[in-house]
Amino acid sequence: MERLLEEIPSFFTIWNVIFLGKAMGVTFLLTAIGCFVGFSVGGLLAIFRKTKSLLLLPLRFFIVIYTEIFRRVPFLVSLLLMFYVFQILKVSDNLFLIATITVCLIATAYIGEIIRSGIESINQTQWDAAEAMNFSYFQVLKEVIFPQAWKVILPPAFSFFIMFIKDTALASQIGVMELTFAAKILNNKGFSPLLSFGTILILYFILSFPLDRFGKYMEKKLASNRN
Amino acid sequence: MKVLFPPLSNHYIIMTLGTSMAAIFGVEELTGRAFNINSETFRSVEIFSLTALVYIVITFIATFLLAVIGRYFFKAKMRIIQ
Repeated sequence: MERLLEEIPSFFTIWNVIFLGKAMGVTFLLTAIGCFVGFSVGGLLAIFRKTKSLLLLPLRFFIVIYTEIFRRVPFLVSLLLMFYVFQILKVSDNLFLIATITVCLIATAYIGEIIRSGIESINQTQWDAAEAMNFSYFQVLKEVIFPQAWKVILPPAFSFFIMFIKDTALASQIGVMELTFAAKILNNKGFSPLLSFGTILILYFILSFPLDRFGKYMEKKLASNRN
Repeated sequence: MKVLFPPLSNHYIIMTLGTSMAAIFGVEELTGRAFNINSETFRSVEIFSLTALVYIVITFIATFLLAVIGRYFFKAKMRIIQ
């Protein structure tokens, strides 16, 4: 404990703070891009999956295969697989790019599934009633289905986002400079593990707590007492 | 139990995927074994795609068994492919 207190002044130098801030930015960017792309593309996948025309059958088939595969492979394995594929094809050696692409693929599969379950939670009679009113497919989704489905979509979606902040820690395995990797480097420099990883713990909390509040706010705004 | 079982089985699958993280600390499970073989032979893409395939097969078997159990014992509405 005394050693810990002795180390604190040498740990929180301006350079270490900047170093940790940059790492926190990378973690935040990775999560934000993943969640944004995941939510938009995942929503599109869920919408296309509910279509019924025969022309889109290959697309629906592809979407089912895609979500089933990416939800069944661990994040670590898909990250490493993507890393080695990029290395062999010599596409790019930008580690952040590789991590971002993997994060987007995984988030798309998971959030697409969450949104699909939200759409499916709406009773079939609602679809029939909306079709009887001569709404087009996208009108039905916009005016009837989604206003009711937010209640089912938002809570698991936000818990997934918060899970995702922590999942990006695995990107440190391929060497992306994010919070966990920064903690490892500081630990290797000789600071005590309790201090370096404890700081990371607090920084992760600072990242995820506002997101949790934001989720609560969105739930109140979009999914409050409609009945 | 009828309502409880589907999310519980879902969590079981997530747990199965979560065990791959133990490889980081050097536990010799599927991903850990893949790491070791990778550092011996350097056939990275083949090894990790095979690992992914094994995970897919394992989780499919698990979903199938859990769906059967859920249907026969708890009368839960479960599908193997969503």
